[in-house]
Amino acid sequence: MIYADDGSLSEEQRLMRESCRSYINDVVTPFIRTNWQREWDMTPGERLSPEILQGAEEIGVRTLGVPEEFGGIDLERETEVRTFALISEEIARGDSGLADKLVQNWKVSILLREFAPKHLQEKWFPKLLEDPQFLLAHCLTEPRGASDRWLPYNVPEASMNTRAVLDGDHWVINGRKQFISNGYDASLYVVYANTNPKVGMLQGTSNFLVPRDTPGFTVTKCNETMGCRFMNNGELVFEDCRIPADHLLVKDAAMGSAGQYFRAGKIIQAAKNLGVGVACFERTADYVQNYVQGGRILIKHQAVAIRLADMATRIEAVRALIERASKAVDEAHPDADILCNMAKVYASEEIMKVATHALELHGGNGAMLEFGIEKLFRDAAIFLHMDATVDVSNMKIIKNMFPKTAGKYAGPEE
Amino acid sequence: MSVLILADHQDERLDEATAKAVSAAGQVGGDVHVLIAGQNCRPAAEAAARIDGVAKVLIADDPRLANRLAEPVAALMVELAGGYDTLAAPASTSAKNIMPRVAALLDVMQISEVVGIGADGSFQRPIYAGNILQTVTSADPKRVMTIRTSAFPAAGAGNAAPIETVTLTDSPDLSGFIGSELSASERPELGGAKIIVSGGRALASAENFQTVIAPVADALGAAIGASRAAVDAGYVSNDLQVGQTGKIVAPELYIACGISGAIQHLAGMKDSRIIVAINKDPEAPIFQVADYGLVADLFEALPEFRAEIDAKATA
Amino acid sequence: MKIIVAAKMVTDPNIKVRALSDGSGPDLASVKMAMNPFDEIAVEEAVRLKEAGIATEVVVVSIGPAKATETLRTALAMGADRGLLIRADQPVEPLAVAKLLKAVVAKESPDLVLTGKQAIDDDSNQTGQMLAALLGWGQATFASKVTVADGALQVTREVDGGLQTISVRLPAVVTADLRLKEPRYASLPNIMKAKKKPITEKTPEDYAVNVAPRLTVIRVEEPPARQAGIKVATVQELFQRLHSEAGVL
Repeated sequence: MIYADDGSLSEEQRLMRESCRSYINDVVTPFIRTNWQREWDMTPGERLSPEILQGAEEIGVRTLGVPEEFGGIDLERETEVRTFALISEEIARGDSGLADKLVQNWKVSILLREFAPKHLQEKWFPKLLEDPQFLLAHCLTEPRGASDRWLPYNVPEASMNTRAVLDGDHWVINGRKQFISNGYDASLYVVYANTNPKVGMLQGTSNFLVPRDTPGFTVTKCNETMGCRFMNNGELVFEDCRIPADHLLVKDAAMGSAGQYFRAGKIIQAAKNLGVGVACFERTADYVQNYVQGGRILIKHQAVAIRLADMATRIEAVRALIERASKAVDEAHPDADILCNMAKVYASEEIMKVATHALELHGGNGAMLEFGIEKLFRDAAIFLHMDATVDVSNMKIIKNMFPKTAGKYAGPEE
Repeated sequence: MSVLILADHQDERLDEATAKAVSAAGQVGGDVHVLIAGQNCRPAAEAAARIDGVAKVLIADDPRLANRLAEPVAALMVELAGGYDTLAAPASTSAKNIMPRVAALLDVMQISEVVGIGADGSFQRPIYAGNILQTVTSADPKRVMTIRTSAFPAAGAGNAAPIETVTLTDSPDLSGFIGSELSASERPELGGAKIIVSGGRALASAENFQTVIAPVADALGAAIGASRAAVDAGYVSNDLQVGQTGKIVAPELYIACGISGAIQHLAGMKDSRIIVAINKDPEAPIFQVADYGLVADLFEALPEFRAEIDAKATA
Repeated sequence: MKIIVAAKMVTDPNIKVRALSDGSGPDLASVKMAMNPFDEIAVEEAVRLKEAGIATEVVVVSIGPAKATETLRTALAMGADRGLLIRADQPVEPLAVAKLLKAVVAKESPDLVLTGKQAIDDDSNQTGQMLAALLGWGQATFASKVTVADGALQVTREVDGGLQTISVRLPAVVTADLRLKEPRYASLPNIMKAKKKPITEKTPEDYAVNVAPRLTVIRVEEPPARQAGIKVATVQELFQRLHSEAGVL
């Protein structure tokens, strides 16, 4: 249970999961438990010790998505997203912020693998491989729009405010990006900008590779978030930031091609969420079997046992949907978009309930910072909202299910 | 029917484990002989001769047997094996090294870490870290076994058995002794400690482990242990964790201080001979397995306990 | 130098195995399996010797059911070169394991056999010693440090009360104790690469070894639960009772 193996995993998938689990149990969980104060260090660089990423390097988990020819790892493509789900669940079971840091690298590496011209791959993959602290970021969200852009508003007025204009052999980028995962720490950014203001977002957005040290590009702050605090979320400003023309990844149609990133991303998001849920369950199951109230351990009080059953059931339901959705994405099933959004939104709502039970069953200890349960609760809360809000995700599900009606711009009936 | 016991000894003295193995061998039945193999090991042989129930002591005093390297001692055992139905030894690291070699040379499947001997010729031994007891019988013409000494009392010491010299004829020259380094007076390791003083989350800090647990442990020459909760809270390092996921221990005396008695913790120490629990919560499950329970605040009880130890030491 | 490592698949060390209620054996239904932790240490030692240029090839052998290929695959991902599974669906006793390994040694001619000091399922602590006996080789059990020089090993062993250092002529059998090495994680890229390393499958019959057990298991049971003792009123009473009644102080 909770960690059941239905036999559908390959030997490699099982071994990879074991390695991740060992790394989490041996390195990450003890660090997080012993250093719980560091989450609140107001110097973002001081929060997660470099040895944690160094450890991630030992199991080779930072550079998934980098092709083997560049020293990365070739997962079985037909089960790649399922593998991502397994691994991100395990990492998030240790710390969801760490999982964010790492999965951002995978997702952006896939984008580079699929869309970057060869010379950019040859330039950047080796740098990524060399440096254990090298992180990637994906910059879509702006002060005036994020996941809601995917609602049926594909009109010029709703397009991105960040603009890129070609000037000779350089693109000049101006604008702002906010709430960017790894934004504060990354070394290389994929930035989305409007390149044609006359058309809708889907037809007029391009994406660019922006190295951190590019003049005109500034990381203005690290956001202080309620959860996933070991991932340093950042705010970025572009002021006449000049990017060589060959750093363009996809011209005008970048949003469409980014689906590659988004579908895997939704699954990974749900799987990280699941990992937080599993951590909630494990901690709680352990607690209620060890702590005594009224002369007997908690689990022997039936009201406690019932809540634990509810946690387990929700976790299994989330896992089942993630498995189905990841299979759909791996197989490029026509329902993949619907299912991956379902998995993401369902995981976020169910694991929030699981985390609430965990908090409740720990009594006063649940509210204590050094106990680590409130951290799981905060981490779970972030997911409601990360990578699209619950409501926007639901809208996307409906839009995909009923493209002719719900998929149209929400104006008057024709 | 007769039993040959390979003694655990340091040449000039005999380890207590041998007398326990003798009492186990008494349950097997038949004459019990004890083999002292070593160099300048007469004192150990004389001590063995005093153990009640020993019919004869065999001494093999030979430089080739110094330090009891596995290959020559096993060769000697095999040479002597013809006269015995059962070859046994206390399950010390020395015997664990030697006895399987003997067994294989005799084409016998060894029975390791025997904790119970049945009248029907069956043997009981722990498997899965002591979570399960297995009862087995052997189809082999001889039995080779190691005895978990904590499961048997030591035989008395009022005997005067004859001591007979035996010689090693053929010794394979495969390994050599270079040196040994026995633990200094620092705290014993959890695994081998006779007494363990263990602390739980109630200690509330790493400092309290040093100021409250350590003085008692040091006064008793004990190892320090901890519950998982205490380890997780960072009060002590991981290697001190007693429990299912930590060390499984079975000391003579286990003193659990401020440990509630989680199932996982109990799995790691329930085979201790005597368990003492000190906890201010009278309902703590640890009391259900403790031989002696004291409902008290450990911060008051432990300094008092230390004072008692000191008082006895100076008395 | 060629090394053979013997590695067993056992129940995950973090799981408390229970007895079946009919007493016929341990309840292993849906219990997670893993490489025996001591064997993992042995694999690590072998791979380090290879990385240090001392060993040229590391062959890992497992005796067990089909699923034991996972144990082999883990060892290959840690850096072993190839695997050999001797397929046995029933438990094989240490003596029979040693006989099978002896047959493998006859074919492979290694200079060193490494394995864990004991498997954490049957806790026998016999296989390495038995193999050394059957081969007529020297043995160094419970190793916490191994150095190789001039056709011999210098091995520090964990013994009661401390450490003992011995020399053993090669070829030899060494069994690993807990502190010999910290086993590495099988990294994800190496797990994928291990997929391409060869694993051969054989049966005990291929080696003409009879693996029928010598010991008959009559029953298994869980040890009796401890009974609660007495409550004492004071520290002084506790000390007195421990001293005079229990005889432990």
